[in-house]
Amino acid sequence: MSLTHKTFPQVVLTQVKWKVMAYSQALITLLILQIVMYYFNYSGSGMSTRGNGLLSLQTHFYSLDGFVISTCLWSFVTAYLIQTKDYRKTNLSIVSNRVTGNIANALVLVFYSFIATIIVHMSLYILVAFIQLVKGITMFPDVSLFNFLHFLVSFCLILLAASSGYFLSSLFNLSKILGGLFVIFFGLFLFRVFDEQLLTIMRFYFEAGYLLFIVKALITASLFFTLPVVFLNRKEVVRG
Amino acid sequence: MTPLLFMVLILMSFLLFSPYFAVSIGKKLKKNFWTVKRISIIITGYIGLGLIAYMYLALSLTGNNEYKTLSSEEIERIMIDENQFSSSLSQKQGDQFDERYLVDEWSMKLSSDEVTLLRESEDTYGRIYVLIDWRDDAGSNEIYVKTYQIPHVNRGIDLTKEVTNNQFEFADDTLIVKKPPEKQLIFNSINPKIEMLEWSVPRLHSKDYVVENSVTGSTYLYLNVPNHVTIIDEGKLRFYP
Repeated sequence: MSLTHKTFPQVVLTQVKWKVMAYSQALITLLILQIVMYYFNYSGSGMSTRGNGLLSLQTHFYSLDGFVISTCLWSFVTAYLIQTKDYRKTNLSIVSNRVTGNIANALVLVFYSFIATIIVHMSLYILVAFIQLVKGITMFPDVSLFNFLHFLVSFCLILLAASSGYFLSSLFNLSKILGGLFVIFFGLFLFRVFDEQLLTIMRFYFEAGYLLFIVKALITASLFFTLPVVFLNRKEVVRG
Repeated sequence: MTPLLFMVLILMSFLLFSPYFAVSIGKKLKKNFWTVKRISIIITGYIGLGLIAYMYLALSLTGNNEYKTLSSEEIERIMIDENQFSSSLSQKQGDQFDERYLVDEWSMKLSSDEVTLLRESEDTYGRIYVLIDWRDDAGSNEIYVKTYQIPHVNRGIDLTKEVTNNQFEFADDTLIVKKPPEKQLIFNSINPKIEMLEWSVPRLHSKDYVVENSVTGSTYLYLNVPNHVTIIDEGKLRFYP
């Protein structure tokens, strides 16, 4: 018999609150990364030229690309670290087991991904406002200053990166051999051994447009977050 | 240097040197510098700075009167209007033409019973369509002309005024489409999107398709011609519905 009774969702929520605060230093790393990205994006993310005989239009645009890519790397690394042994030991500071710990981690990563998406957008606005003030050039919005669909797409990309990092770390946690194989497999992708397969994956995610990409990304991320809950679930006593 | 620029510079410098301050002050305090409270203040401050930048951009963009910027809905409406316009052209329903796109109304007085349509240059901007509407008027040699211009939009910027100077000249019973010198325009655009996906994701599935594809800015010449006048279309400008 115990004096307090906590339900499963209450335990998870307590952990989420605790972990959001405990791991918040990761957001400072993200801010530093954004400042570094200002330098790379200072002269624009890209340029497009269009002509029709009457007009020759040259557009230098400032987009989210660089900020989102760097944030994806950040979220991958942060998610990977959250599942490492040192971080898992901190779970012992609060009431937890493997299941609640994993669910709380996933929710924390979803929350951080959302904050990171906001930060990414703010970084673009700060950079462009700064450039407009310093260079004295006139900026035009590409239709609007805020695009909700691309906000969601950015969020999904960051979440996908986080869930992949979390899944990879969990694989290492489960078995070093499995994790190693995954890394080798990933390395082969980078060295363009599986170019066709990579293209197939890209097609799978993007060929049907943004809205379906969002659905597919959310399903994939849920899968990557759920699998560790299943395969890392066990009853144990850990020596602190 | 405006006070706003000065403020932004101070804030940027602070953000730039914050890692240094964090490490040096943190060491001096011999404590964990990055407390949850400080982190929350910095993150909130950064988002706040971003919102100020957003408002500044929104205000400065509204104040820019050189070129009008259009919303996604406005561009979509123009595209629908253009399709309706083309279909009323095909059906020769002159009375249904959208008068919003009427930019000029003039007439040509012929000295003979023939009029020649010419292009000044072969590579003259091609999106000019001439539609002929015949009328029973044996006693007149006058052609009434209406010029319709569909807006020209590129990445949300209305460039119609840049293309309407595509002048027509009438002399010696010849209507010439002149080729004005090509204008070069440079724009800086803030694009809150992931641009590399814009190139790879089929845009037909996205509402933003209309934005990237832009609006073409076609020019339509509607000629009301007496029945007895012969038209010699050397410039291949005539639109046959």
